[in-house]
Amino acid sequence: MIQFIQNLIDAVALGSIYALVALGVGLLFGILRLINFAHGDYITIGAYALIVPSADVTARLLIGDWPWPVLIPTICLIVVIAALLTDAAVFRPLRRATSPTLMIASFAVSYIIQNGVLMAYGSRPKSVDLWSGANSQVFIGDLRVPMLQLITLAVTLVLMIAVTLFLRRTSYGIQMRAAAEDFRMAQYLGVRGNVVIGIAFALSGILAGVVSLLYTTQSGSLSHVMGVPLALFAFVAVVVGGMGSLVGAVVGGFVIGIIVTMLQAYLPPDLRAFRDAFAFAFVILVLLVRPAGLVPSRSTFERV
Amino acid sequence: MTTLLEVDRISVRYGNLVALRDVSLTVAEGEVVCVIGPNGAGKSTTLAAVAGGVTPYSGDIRLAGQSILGRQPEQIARLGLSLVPEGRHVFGTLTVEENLKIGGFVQGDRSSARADLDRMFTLFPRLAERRNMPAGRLSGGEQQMLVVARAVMTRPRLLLVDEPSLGLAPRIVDQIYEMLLDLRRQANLTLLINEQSSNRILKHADRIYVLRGARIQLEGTAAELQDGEAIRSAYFGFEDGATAKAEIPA
Repeated sequence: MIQFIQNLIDAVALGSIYALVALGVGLLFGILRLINFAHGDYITIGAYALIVPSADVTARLLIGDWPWPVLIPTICLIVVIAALLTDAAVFRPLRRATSPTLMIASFAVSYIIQNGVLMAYGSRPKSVDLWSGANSQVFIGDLRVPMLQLITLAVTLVLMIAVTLFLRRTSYGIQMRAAAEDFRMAQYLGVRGNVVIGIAFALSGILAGVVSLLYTTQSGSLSHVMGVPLALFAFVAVVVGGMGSLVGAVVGGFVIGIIVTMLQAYLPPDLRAFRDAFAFAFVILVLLVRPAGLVPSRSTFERV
Repeated sequence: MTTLLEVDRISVRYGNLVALRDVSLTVAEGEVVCVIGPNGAGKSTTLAAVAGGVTPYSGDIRLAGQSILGRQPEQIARLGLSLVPEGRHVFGTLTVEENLKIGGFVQGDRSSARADLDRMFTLFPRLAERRNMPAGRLSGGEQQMLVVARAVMTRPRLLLVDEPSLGLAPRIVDQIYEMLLDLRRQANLTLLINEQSSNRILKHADRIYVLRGARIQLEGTAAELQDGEAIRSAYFGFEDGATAKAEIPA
């Protein structure tokens, strides 16, 4: 039983990382119909921004050495700027393009970022020591819980509440929700399209920045493709949750995290290498039963 | 009366399909102008072109003397022109109140937007009762009320309404027209309305244009066109002297 609870905590912690990534992806998809494959690379940018740019094997911390109240906003700001630059340089000229075109453009952005990081920092993974104290264990009764997992859970909760409050209570949040539902109609009412899209990119950048810190603290290493698996699972989460629904993205993120962790823990050892295949098979099953995802978006209560 | 809107020989193409050919119309400050015509005549395209939703490949559109051709819809909205597109377009997952607030943000002045919101709720008690309900759950007539009220929240000088009667029961349509004319008196609105049918329009409009096959076929004041015969032949495209008994849909 203790073992199961322990696994469950691992699962929820991993799930909350996926949920944060999926939320960032979902925000942009909702408003721009852009499936942004470069989202994972925003995370990579945030992680590499911690160290001194060089091709050396051992990484020297730069921003990573700063006290956390400065470090966190700085990393988030860097990622936000990167996200806004990709919008200005690539996605804005493609505003009238179709969804598939936008998606392919995001692949291009993704490769450009990965290769840019490759050129500046070299191809070998680097180990970094960010807040290693957070990896210590906390005892709760008989449970041993890594401190970082508790932090991850708390941070996820806080960010989700913050995003929800932003979308419900602020004027830009309401405009974003309107634009996500009917972009042209929102423009007819004077909602500035590029402003709300910019805010969506910025929010998704903040989320990516926070994930880069959580993920780097946990893994202790950097690689130019580190964001790819995160983004991949986040897309799966978005699809499972229901394209266009933010609640769905978050639910999907937790579901994927829990499935992956539980498969890792309970699959027979011989089959563990195929964990992801089992996870994706499950996704196919979900989509067969609920093609619109677990939390189908919008127009569910449209009336004629 | 000063001219508020001038549409000057615009032509619009969707791919190879010509949707509008040299369409001109004017709306003077304070007028109620109606464009009528059969389905597919180009009525919606005309309004969308004025509001910036489609860009004509020739011609010009001027609002209060200033060309607005090629501007983004959001910029045109901020110049005091608001479009209520056909098919209602409420933000279904937003509440009634949030829908109205979207219209108010363009004002930039919170207290006047607040006052307008209260005014809309006084004007439309049905919307006030449902203010926290997702707009997608309203009935068709209530949704039409909401989108008109929402457009008025932007404090437009010129309100474009695309087929307000589409898909609504005649009794509800009467209410919608009453509401539009009320708003016109109260908010100093100028109205440009699209309709498929002419009977209501003849009662309320100052001037009428008949659009068919991407062109303006007829233009005149409501008084001139009162007997409906000229409208009928322009609407259906009868040659002079034809005496068919076709009826414009009610």
